[in-house]
Amino acid sequence: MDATRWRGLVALVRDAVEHGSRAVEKVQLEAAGRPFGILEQIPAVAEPTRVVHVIHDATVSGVHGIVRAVARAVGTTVDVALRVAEHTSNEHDRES
Amino acid sequence: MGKKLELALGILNGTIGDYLAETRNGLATPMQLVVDGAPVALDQASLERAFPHASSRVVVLAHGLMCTESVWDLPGGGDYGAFLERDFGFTPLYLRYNSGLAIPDNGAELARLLEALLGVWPVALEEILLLGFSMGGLVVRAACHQASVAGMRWLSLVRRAFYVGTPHLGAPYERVGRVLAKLASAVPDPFARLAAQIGDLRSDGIKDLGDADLRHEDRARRRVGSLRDPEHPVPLLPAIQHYIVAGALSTDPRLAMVFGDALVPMGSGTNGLRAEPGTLALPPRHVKIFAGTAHMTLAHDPHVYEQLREWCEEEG
Repeated sequence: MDATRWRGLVALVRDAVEHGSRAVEKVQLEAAGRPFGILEQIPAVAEPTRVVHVIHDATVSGVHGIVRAVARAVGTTVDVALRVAEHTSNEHDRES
Repeated sequence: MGKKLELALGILNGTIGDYLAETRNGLATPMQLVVDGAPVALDQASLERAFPHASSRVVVLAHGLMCTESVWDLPGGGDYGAFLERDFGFTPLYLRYNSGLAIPDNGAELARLLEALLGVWPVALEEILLLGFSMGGLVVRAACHQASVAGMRWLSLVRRAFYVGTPHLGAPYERVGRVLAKLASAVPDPFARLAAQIGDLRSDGIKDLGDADLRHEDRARRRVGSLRDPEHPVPLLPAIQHYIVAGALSTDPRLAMVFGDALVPMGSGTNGLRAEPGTLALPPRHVKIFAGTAHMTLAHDPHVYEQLREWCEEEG
């Protein structure tokens, strides 16, 4: 497989993680929002529920944010490595 | 490895090829002619090297959705292109393309490729025979339509077009998928909506198969709730002799009508055959149904080639 395709594969995996993570994050926040919403209607537990809800949402978004950031970092690293490998290979071809 | 990799990329392109092209991803397959698995540049020197015995008559073979040119390979060796060269002197030109792109886009690209070929083919071209399998047949039709509108020169060299397993009136499985995606997106549940979003990732090429859309404007007639074959707005060009090969899993005529070759129902595969007689858009001798033959088999079946050969002999 040539370097263009390898780069394409890396970009595709990065896109899949990015879009997949955003979609799953949205579903998780929405699904959890329902029971939290009900509990927040009950005066006795409304206030602590709101606090837990905020912590929950921040944790979910934080974890997904880290997943996306790692995917981007790995993608960029592999991309740079591919460019270096390609450059080295071209230099080698020119010399021989 | 090479063939398997290309096949894997063919499947990937068929599934999300429109996204790959849109994001300029290196995995997107450009439309190209291939010889022994390798792409050939569209210039005279490259073509002379790749086709040392180039003939004035060529056959263009367009594969189907999620395929590559390897779909034509017969189990015992050879393929329709090689046989047409052996029997009639046609130089086979195997097309490889991103089957996830919209059918009109692939049609436009094929029309441009053939127009360019006229100027660089090693000898003066006298005849272009078109052979499309499944979606490839619709790409061929879209190319002919666009060449006709644009007055391209290559179209005057096309006397015959063969369609093998082509869903001329669309593919009902895609229309069912469209309905299911719409239903899932209407359910007030985040998981159902996620499922609908995942389903909607399928490529433009797949979506165009639902109603056999040959032009971008044809999509306006898509009706989500309808599972019936649509009335096709782009007729077969009258200046060309059209020949159709359709498959049928069952030998029972009623079952064959409904299930066709497992992917393409009989009405769509024959461009209009209904249970009532006399409903074909083409002369009956231009349509051949192979009972007991599944969709993918149609692309590499010795009996199908025998039929293509007969048609070539008839028309000289």
